[in-house]
Amino acid sequence: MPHVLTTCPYCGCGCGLYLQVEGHKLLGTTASTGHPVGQGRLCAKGWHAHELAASPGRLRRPLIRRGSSLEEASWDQALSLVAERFLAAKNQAGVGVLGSARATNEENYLLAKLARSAIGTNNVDFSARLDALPGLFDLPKYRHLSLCGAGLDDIDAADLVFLWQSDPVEEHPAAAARVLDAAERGIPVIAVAARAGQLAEVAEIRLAPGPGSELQLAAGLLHVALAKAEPPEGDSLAAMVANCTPDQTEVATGVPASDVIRAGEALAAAGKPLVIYTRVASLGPQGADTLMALSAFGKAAGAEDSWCPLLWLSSYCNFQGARDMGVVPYFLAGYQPVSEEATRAKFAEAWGAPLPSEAGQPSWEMLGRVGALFVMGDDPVSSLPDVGATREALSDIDFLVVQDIFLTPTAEAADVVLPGASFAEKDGTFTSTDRRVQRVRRASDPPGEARQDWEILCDLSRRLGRPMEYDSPSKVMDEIAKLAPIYSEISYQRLDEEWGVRWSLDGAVAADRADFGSRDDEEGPASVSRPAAPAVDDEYPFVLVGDQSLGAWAADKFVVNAVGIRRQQGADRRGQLPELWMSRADCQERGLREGSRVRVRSRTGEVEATVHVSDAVRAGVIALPAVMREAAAVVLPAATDPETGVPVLRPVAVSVEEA
Amino acid sequence: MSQPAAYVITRSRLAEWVGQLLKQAQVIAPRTVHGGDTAYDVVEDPSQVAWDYSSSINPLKRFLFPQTEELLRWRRPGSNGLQLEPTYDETDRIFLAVRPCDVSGVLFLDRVFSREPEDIYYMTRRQHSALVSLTCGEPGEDCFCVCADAGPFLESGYDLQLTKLSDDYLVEVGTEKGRSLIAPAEHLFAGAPDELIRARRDIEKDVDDRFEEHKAYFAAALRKVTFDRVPDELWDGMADRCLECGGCSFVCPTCTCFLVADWPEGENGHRERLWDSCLYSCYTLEASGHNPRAQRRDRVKARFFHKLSYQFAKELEAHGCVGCGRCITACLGSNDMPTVTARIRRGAI
Ligand code: SF4
Ligand code: SF4
Repeated sequence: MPHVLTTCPYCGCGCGLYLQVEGHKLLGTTASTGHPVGQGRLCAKGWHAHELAASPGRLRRPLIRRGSSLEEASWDQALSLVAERFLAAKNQAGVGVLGSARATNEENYLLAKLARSAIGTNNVDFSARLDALPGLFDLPKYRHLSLCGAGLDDIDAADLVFLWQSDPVEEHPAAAARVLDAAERGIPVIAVAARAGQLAEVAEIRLAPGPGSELQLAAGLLHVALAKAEPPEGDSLAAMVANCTPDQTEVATGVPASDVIRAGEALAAAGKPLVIYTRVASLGPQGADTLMALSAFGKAAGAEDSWCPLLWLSSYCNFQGARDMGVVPYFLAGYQPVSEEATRAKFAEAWGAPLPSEAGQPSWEMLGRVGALFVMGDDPVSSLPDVGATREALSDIDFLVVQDIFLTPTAEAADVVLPGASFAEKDGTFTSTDRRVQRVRRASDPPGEARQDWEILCDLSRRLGRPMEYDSPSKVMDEIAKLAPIYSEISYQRLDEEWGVRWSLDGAVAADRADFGSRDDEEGPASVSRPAAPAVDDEYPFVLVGDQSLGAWAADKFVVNAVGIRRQQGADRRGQLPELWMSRADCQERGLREGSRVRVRSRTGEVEATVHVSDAVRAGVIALPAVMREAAAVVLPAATDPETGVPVLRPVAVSVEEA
Repeated sequence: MSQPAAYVITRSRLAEWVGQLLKQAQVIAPRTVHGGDTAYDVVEDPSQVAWDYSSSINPLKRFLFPQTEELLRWRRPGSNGLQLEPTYDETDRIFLAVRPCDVSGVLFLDRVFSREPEDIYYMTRRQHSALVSLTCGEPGEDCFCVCADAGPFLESGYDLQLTKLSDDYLVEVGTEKGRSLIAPAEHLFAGAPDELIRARRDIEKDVDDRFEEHKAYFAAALRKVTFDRVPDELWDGMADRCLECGGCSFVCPTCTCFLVADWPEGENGHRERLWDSCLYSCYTLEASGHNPRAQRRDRVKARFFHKLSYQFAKELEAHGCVGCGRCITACLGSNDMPTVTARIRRGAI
């Protein structure tokens, strides 16, 4: 059929679109009007999705490294080499496997199965997993935070919307459209960010906490809202934020006390507050604690227990699904712990192979330690916060294999590159940011000799001595449904009849959840940490934030390879240098203009950039796209969350001089 | 004997007629594509035509001016020069049961693409196509074609125009090309008696009345836009609500902007044109790096100036809107044509 319904391959909202095909040629993309997510709307990424698949930049043949160059090879040569080296490495230096927030559920499931049953390792992860909630989400008691409870439809139901360090216009326009609709209906919107986005224009209240003080602002709002609600004596949440008065909050965050009171009172008055956030919040220096605090907004507003106040917007079409499929060192598909013997036994029986019991390593630790790494559709160089360390770790790996559709920065370092299929060329499913499992349908053929990813994995598994046999991805889903209770209701037939199915959280979230303020220990009640703001001085007078949603175009192959998206994102407008967002006042004081070339220097390094004069940042704060890693990384030093040891992005003090 | 200007065909015979048309050319008609979405699409079997549809999610321009279209291939045989092979699409196509607003959209494109220098890619496709319109007896939820003078019935421009009358369809012949679609299946048709032609007139009047409330009241907005009397704050407010998706351009039957890209593959390569949108930040980017419409507000304003001002309407004999209502569905903000004209009329967001 010339109109093939499929799911957008970009952000996690999961809009439905039709690919218009003639023969095997992709002619265009049309929004689906009946689809419950987009309802006939798409963002620029969706409207140009077919360009991604039809891009001449696609990988067409397997490549094998010979010296410093990658040369074309046959599938047999490439896969034999991979099997041989992985069998050897398995018994020596160790092996790791990275799946993908952009591959289908079926592919991710097969990859995790291959890793655990054919290679025998739990070193299974994907680097974008860091986006959701730094590391913590793998601990059962925090899982209610990482498994997003709220859905896009809750934007329509909410009576107060916080845009927390996020402007969905930039990465999640389908969500932004619903926020605009809400604002139009008179629902108050509160925009919280060091750099104001487009939706701040329709927000009733704008709060611009100093970078690194978002946790303290959240605590201040809780303080005001709880004071209104008069919680019972001894309430641990109230005790935790007791000292976070509006005045204290002003000191810690720079947000005027009167604004803290207004916003806190709006929270108190709400019955269904919804906090929309993205990786910018969770990768922040106190991301985990901030999200804990935000999850208490429901309680502070007196919302019903069933109302989840957190709506996490993932930047990838199948971020949720990759985790659901067990592309996590600690879980098998469906969040079933590898540490449980009964669970392992269940999978071992179905897979016909014993499973390793030893916990695996997360991506950021795995990279430096394994001798051989298989990467399917992941690009740690572009997703892990510390680009320098990631590059170095990759170059230390003896044998690196990348299966992808473009030559990503990670693939450039590979020993073998395997060309896979794009979303338009395969059958499968993606799971949206709010757990909607939806069909991806094949509309055309992979270019050149590129192959279906699931077939590549089956071929490799056979060569590793553990054949996996399937007729089609539909059969893979049947197996997933049998093994992962959260997917037990899913089948292609049902997905074909409906517009996708949202899997239920019931039973997936552990009962012993840890809430903000409830972490009492012997040392007394928990307290709110101090801001993670850097100290500025005369030498380094600016606070620089690495902004995840700025300039995603520059590094992302999914953007640069679609002409229309590049054009909308303004990629053709900008030069090779990253854009530095600086306030009008600061620019005037320093005699800088739009496009001025500057040198940004921190205690650890320096980078050149061009100035973008903007009213979106306040004086003293500047923003640089964090995704232009090569550039930003030198001034944004690697940092880890002290509590979890997980990499985070920290604001730093810098100087700016005309270059 | 002179041939009748109108025929009648009973509903039960439509399938046989479509079967005949399928032998003549590729047939593009409304078709249910998934869960209730109806799109103009290639049909392979007469049963696939969704005769009772309300409107289609896509405009016809997708088939005459595709979103991504190969223009030519080049080759370098040896050292001497470059060989260019243009890729024209000469497939015969019949657009069947198309809503009048969409026919009007095609007529608008005809005027745009036939201006000198003529767009040979579009014109080639157009010469190989026939338009069979289906009038509207019931206004769709978002329709306002009456204000754009683009429906619900057409006076001309179609090759054939069908109107549903209880069990029959009245078939008005607009052109000889239209007549040629009937000729091979003439036994299925009868000449239309005068009372049926009168009945069609009555339906048209009745439908016009019912469309009344679907008017977007263009006139006042047209004047204000033409004489630049729209306050800047209004454009600012609309810019805040534009998320630069380009959807309005893509679903609009009259938008025609495109860009051209060359894709080299070694010594050979091909050239494509791709739909562009005037709301994208690089739309007016000049090679020097200067961008006369760097602000979104200026781009939104330019869009509606092109759609609504008399200057452009004079040149193209119509305003750049056929009242199909698709932008109401597509816009991520609320910058659809009826909302925008209402805002301009009352001078407030
Ligand atoms: S909002 Fe997200 S899912 Fe929807 S079209 Fe845009 S990128 Fe695709
Ligand atoms: S459809 Fe609406 S949001 Fe999209 S580009 Fe047009 S005006 Fe902007």
